[in-house]
Amino acid sequence: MRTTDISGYLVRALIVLLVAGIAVAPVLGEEQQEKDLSVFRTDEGSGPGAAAPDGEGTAIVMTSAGPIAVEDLVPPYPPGWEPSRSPIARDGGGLYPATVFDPLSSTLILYPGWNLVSTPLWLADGHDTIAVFDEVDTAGHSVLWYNGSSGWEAMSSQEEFIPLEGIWIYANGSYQIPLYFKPVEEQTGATKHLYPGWNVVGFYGLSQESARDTLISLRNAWATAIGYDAGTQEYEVSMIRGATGSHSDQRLMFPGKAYWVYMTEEATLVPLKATKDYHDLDYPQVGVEWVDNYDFNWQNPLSQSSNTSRGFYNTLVEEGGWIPMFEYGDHNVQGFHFTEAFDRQYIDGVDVALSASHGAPNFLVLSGVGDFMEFEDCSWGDNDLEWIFLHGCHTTNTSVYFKNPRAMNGVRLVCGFETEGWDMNDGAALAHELLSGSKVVDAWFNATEITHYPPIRVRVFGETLDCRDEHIWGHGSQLQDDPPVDSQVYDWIHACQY
Amino acid sequence: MTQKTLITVFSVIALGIAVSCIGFVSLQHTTEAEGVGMPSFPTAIGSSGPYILAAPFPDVNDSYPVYRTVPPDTSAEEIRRIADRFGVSGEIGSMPSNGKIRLVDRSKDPAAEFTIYTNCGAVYYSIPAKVYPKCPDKEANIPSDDEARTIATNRLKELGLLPGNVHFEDVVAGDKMGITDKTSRTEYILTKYVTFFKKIQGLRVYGAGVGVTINDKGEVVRVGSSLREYDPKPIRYVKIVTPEQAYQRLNSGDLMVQPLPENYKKIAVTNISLGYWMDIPSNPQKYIVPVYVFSCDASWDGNTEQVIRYVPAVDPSEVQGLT
Repeated sequence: MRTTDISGYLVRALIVLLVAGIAVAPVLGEEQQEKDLSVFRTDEGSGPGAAAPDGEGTAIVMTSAGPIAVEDLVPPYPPGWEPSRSPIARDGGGLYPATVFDPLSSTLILYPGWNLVSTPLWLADGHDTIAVFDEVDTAGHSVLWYNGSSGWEAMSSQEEFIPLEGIWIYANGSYQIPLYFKPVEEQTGATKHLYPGWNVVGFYGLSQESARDTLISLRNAWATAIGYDAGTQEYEVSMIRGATGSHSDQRLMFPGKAYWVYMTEEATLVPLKATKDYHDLDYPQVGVEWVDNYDFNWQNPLSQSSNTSRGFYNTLVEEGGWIPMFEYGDHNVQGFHFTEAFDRQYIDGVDVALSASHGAPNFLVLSGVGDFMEFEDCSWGDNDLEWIFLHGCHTTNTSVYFKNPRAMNGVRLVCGFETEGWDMNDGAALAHELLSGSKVVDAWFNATEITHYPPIRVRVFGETLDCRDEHIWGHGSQLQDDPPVDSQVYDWIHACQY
Repeated sequence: MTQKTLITVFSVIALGIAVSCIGFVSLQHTTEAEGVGMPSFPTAIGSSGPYILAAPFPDVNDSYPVYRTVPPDTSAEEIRRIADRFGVSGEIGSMPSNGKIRLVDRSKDPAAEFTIYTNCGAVYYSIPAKVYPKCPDKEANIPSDDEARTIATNRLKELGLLPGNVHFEDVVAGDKMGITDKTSRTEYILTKYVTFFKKIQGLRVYGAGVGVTINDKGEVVRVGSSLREYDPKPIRYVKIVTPEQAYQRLNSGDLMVQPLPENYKKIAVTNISLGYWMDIPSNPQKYIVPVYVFSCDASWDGNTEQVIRYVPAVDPSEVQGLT
């Protein structure tokens, strides 16, 4: 039965509401995210200047000058120059910094005074040094670079200007600096090692991203990130990891800019966007999502989704050297992490992903009441995802949900259960199988066979027959080229055995 | 604000609520008709839960014996001795997870593996290159179920894994490969899997068993036994809950293994029996205790599959203090 015309309007209205919900979800979601700052947190300090960024106590870091609230951390200024105004912007200031990169003309915009800039991509040969700024009247100031381990350094015109490195440059007037990028196929991965204390980090990529997503590979090692508004010549409001409100880590970082990032320990920054297909082998990335707890009382809570996911994640990271990109659990798991509009920052932003929760042939069950993630809303593999494990019942029971319209849109293998599955901890075993050189499909079969037995059946969907032979990056062979995406799907079913 | 304005505002709100309800009902009709399969809440049967009882409660005794598991001998000599029975020799290497020890015999082409779980003695033999075929071999013929049963039985006898209390259970497709497009599906059986179960004092063991995988050339490519060794002399008898109490436990989700499904519209209990529980090889287990087994037909969107629910038959307090 089709709906009447009025319901058609309602469907559209519901879609509008859904879209609106998705739009605000990141903001709402952050209210519930874990606030597990590796820095100290106190319950005092509700007075001016020590207000908690999230209202739950003040985040404290230990510095050479003693303990200090993260919110009060002030990054260095170029030597010999002090700002005329407040050393750091407070609430209400610096939230809308001046634009420093024009993507249409690929130009950096310099404002009179000091500028903190970076190149968003690798520059073409002959245009990849500080010489691109040779025409700028610096009023006698050196171009400066901040070494996170040793401090300020002056840069010569011959030195490279590369992604993730931020430079300070003084401009005695306004300038537009054209940048000439390498072609897409020559854009390689970019990483930067960061040290405890202050570091300057350039923003990688041509589209803005939240601080949380931009710095996600640093896990809990970063405390705060602060931009510099060349238009006002002062620092912006800080973005504090795990914070909400004006200091939220959901605030955006922008192409062409660079940021001070305060680290509590060493870590390597690997931008999510930096490794798409070009350097999968160099920087293989993993992400996991899991649900143990459900808001509805008829749904049995699970105990092993988190263990399976963390076992998988930590084993690949600690024993395999994979780059840890995200681990979201319970209410921090959002449908938009999987679905087409935003997946490239989450599921489709890594090479291998695992999701563990209750499931069904056409959806995963998330924590909230009525919170389902439907496969038909997904488009995996058109960005980066090669392999995904769906540890939930019936997740690979019916291929039509992955091919109609296009959940499998470049992803090579989707591993799941044809029948129901059980709440078992098999993530670490799966990772060990993968790291020991098992094919992806064999690893899934071997790992689930340890914890399941008749009549349970596992099943894997493959884009092509040859996908069956793939291994994860660094532990065996892969297809030479991306598999063609068509309406056909191959599958392998294995009856779990004693 | 005038009275007219207030009436108008309330009218608009009321109309909005009414239209929303109509639209929601219409939307539900649409999704059902198009078979989108949007989730619905499981049917609650009375006050007892979602499992529909379609089988009689079994007659059981008040108490049953409990057995103590026996740790396996995991000395290198013993492991080599067992592996040798499977025709596997090679370096002994431990696996980082799940307490496994594995021998890989690279003198064979292709290599063969023998794995033993150190905490329970579960053993597995396999030829990794053959155990999960990629696609059918057009030159080969998968053995019939009877042929597969004969091959498996003979191999288990050779290995000494078929004592009198281990019985044939079933032959199923072990591995299948399929190709699906918009209008058709082609499916191939790549291996046959023959299963055997154990009985203890007339009660079947659940959670563990013996299985043999045979490929399309009639080769045995995998043998596994997840049965645990145990002392046949009972520690003592323990009181078990009644089948009715077990059914209540089933409906309250008190299970040995928590399933992950979300889509079942109906679960009908087609058989209830009592057996003994052996946990998965990677989990430690000190005692072999009775378990209720609810065999069910679960259905959703025109599909039905057999599911099994294992319900503890013994209260934890009954086995506390056992030595």
